[in-house]
Amino acid sequence: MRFSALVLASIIGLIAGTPPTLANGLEPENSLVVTSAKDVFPPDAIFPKEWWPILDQRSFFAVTSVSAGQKTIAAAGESLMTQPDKTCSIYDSSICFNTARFYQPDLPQAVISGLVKWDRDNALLLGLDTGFRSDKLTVSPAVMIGLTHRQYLSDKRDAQFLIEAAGWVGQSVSHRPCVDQYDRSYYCGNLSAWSDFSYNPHPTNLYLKLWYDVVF
Amino acid sequence: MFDDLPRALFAIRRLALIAACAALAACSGGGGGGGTAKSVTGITSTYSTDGSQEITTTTYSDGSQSSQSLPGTLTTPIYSSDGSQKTLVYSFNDGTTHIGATLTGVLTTPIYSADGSQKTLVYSFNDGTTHNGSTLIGTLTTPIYSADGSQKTLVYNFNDGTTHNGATLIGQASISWPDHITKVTIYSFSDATTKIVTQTIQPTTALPTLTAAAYPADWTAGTSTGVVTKPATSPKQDVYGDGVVKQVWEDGTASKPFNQSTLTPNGATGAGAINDPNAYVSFVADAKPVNNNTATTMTFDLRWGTPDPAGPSYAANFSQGTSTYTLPKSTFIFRALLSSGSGACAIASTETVGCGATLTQPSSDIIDAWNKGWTGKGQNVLIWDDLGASPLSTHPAIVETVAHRYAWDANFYGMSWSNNDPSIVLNTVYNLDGTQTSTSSPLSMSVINMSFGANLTSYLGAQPSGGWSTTQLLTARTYFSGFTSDVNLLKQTAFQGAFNFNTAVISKAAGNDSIDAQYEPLNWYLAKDSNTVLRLLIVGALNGIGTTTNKTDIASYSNKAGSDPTIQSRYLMESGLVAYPNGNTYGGTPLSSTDQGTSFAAPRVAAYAAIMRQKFSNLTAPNTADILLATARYDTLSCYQGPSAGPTGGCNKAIYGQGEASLSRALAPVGYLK
Repeated sequence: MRFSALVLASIIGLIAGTPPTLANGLEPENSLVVTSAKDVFPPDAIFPKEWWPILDQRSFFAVTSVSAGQKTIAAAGESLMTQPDKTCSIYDSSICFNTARFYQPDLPQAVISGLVKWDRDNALLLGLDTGFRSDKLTVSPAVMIGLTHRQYLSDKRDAQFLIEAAGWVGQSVSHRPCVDQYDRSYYCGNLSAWSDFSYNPHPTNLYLKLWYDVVF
Repeated sequence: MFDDLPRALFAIRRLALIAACAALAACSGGGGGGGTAKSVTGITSTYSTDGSQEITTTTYSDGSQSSQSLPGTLTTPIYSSDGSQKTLVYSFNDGTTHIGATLTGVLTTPIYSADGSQKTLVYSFNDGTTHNGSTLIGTLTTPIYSADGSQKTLVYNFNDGTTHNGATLIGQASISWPDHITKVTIYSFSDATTKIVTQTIQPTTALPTLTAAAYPADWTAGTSTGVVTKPATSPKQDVYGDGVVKQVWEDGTASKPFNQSTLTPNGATGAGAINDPNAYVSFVADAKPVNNNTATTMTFDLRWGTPDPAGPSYAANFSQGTSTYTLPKSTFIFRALLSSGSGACAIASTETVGCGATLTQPSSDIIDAWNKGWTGKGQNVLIWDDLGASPLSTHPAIVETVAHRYAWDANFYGMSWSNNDPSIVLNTVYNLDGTQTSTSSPLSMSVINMSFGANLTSYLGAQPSGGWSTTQLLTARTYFSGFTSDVNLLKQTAFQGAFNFNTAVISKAAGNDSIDAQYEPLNWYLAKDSNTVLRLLIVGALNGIGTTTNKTDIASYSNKAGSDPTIQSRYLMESGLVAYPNGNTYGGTPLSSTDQGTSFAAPRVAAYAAIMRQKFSNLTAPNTADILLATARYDTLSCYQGPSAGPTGGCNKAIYGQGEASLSRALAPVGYLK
C-alpha cells in the first residue's frame, strides 16, 4: 500500500552543495512512510570521481513522503485500517451496514516524513503524523525520529554499509464500539462482537535496517 | 626509721651551708656593700604548685634572701582505689620525694574477659597514660539466638549500665515430626539450657503429567471410526520433610481437574498436550484408584464437549465437511448413557472407548459460529422434560443432545415434569451426570427448553380426519389450565432457594398436533402471561434445515403459528429432525434417526439463545428472544416467492409465523447502528 501523494525525494530545501541523484523506485515497504536511507545514500562510485569533493560537502533537507486525506488510516507509520464505506457482518455476509460515518475524520490525517542530511555519511530522519479523530476511532498525533549512517568499505566508494534506526513515539489508538438496536456492541471494522475485538492502544514501530551496497 | 632520713639529710645540708657562709664571710646573696659581712640567718624550703620542683630560700642577716630551685623526677604514681585518679610523685636528688598533682582519668575502651563475663574499666589520663581500673562482674541476661535457633550468644549486664555479648554456644539438635509438615528441633547448649524451634515445612510437589490421548489416523480422514486411546495421568506426588512420600490423586471432576499446565505431549503419536485450561476432563469412576498410596494409573475421559486442540475438535471435524462425528465415549444424560451401540456400551461400568454417540452435521452457520468462538460457553441451559418417565424415556436425552450438539460448551441441567420413576424428584434440577444440582449457590438459567405440552389426544380422543373442532380445543385449553402453575414456576427468581428462572429465554415446542399454536394450552398460558410472553419463543418444526438454495417447508405434524397475534409474533421455526443417524442407543434403547417433532426444533432455538448470550452478555432474555424473532427468515422456506411478494415473500404468517430461525443473522447487528 502506498499513498498516492507519495513524493519521493522531492527536495524542498537545499542547504548547500548539489542535491544527490536518488535511485529510481524503492523496494516494497510495509511502512506507509518511506524513510529509506538507501535512496539518499547511493554509493559515490556511480558518480564521476571529480564530483566527490562536492558530494562530500553536500547537506540538505528532503521530504521523502507525504500522505494526506487517504482512505487508509495510519498509526505508528503503518496501516491501521481502511475507512469503510460499508461493513458486512462476519457472521452473515448478507447483512451490511453503512459504517463510513463512524470513520469520517474531523480533519484529514496527514503523514509526512523527511530527513536532514548534514554531512556525507549521516542523516537525521523525521516524521509527523497529525493523527485521526472520528466517531469510532481516534489516533493521536505522533512523531517519528531516527538516524542513518553510511560506512564506506573502501576508498573507491563502491561498497558501503548503511544502517538506519528510527521509530514512532507518542502515538495512542482508541477504538469505540458500534451499538445496535439491542445495545449489542460490535467492532465496526467487521461487525464482530466487541468482546472478540482487541487492539494495541499504544502502537510502536521501531525498526533497524541494514544494507550492503556494491557497485559493479 | 628510714622515714626520717630525708629530713635528717636536709638538716645536715642546711648546717653545712651556714658553716660555709660564715667561713667565707661572703654569702651575701644580696651583694651588701660596705665590706660588712652578712651572715645566713635562715634557710627555708618549699615546693612548686605541681610539686615538681623544690625551692630553697636563704635569708641573711641583713634581711636579704636568695632562692634556688631543684627539679624533681617523676616516680611511681599513686592511683585511687577504683583507678580513676592518678597522683604524681616526684623524687629529688637530695633523696627526698614529694606528692604532686592528682589527675582524673577518662574511661576508654574496656577490657573483657575471654568469656565476656568480666569487664575491666580502663582510664585515660591527660599525661598520655592509661590505667586499668576496677573489674566489674557481669550478670547474665536474655541471650541472643541465631535465626535458626542453633546458636546461643550469652549476654551480660554490668553495674555501670552496660551490656556485653559473651560467648556463643553451639547447640546440639534433636529433631522430631509431630506430623509431616511440622518440624520440632530441640537445641541443647553447654550451659544446660535448651531452645525449641518449630517450623512448618511444606512438601515438595511433583505435579501430575498426562500422556495425551492417541487418536487414530482416520480422525483426520473424517471417518471417525477409530479407537481413541484414553489419556493416563501420573499422580501428584508430595515429598514431605520427614521423608514421607504421598501420592495425591485429583478426583478428575470438572471443578477439580488435574493441572492442565503440566500435561506433557505425546511425541510418539504426534498428539500434543491438552492445553485448553477450560477443557472439561471427566473422570471415569470405575477406574479411580481406591487407595491413594498404591494406585499407579488413573484414567480420564475426554467427554462430551471437550475441545481438545490436540485431537480433532468437534467443530473442526464438521468444518472439514464431515457429515457425522462420533464422540469418544458414551455420554451420560440425566439417567442413562447415550451410546453408539448396545451391549457393553450401554452400561457405564463396562463401556469402552468407541462407545460415543454418532452425531450428524449441524447447519453451516452453526459451524461457522463455532469457529468464531460462539459455543454457548458459560451459559446455563435447563432442559425441562420427562426425566421421570417409567420406563425410561428417550425423549429428554434426544432433546438434550440436540441442544448440546449446537451449544456444546454450555452448561446443561435437567428438570422433570414427571416422577413416575421413584428415583426422580419432581421439579428438581439435575446435573447432566444424574446428580441433583446443588442449591448452595445461586444459579441463573440463560435458557429453558420446554419440549412438552398438553396431551390433547388423552383428553379429546384421537383427532378425527377433519381435526378437532375449535370448541373442543377451547374446552381442552380450559381443562389444562393447571399449566399456569408451570408458568408461575418460570417466573421464580430463587426457585428452591437457588435457581433463577426469571432470566431465561423460554424455548417452547409448538406441538405436534397440526393445529394452530394458540390451541396448545401451554403455548397459550405462556403467551398470555405478561412476564413469560416477553421471553417466549414458540418453535414449529420444519422438514429440515432450509437454505436459500435448498428450501424447506413446515412439517406436516407441526402446529402452525395460528391466528392469535401474540402467539404468531412469538412463533418461529427450525428443523424437527433428530441429531444422529441410526445406531445410537439411550439406556440400551435404540434411537431412530427418523424421529421428528417440534420437541427437537425447540432445543435448536434454545441453543441459539445460549450462543447469543455467551458474548453479548448484556442481552436480556426478552432482547434475545426479540432478536431471534426479528432475524428469522422466510427466504429459506418453500413458500417464499421473492421480495416482490411482500415483507414475508408471500409466506403466510399464520403458518410460518416469523420464519426460520437464523443464528448467523441473529449474531449480526440489528436495527440502526450508532
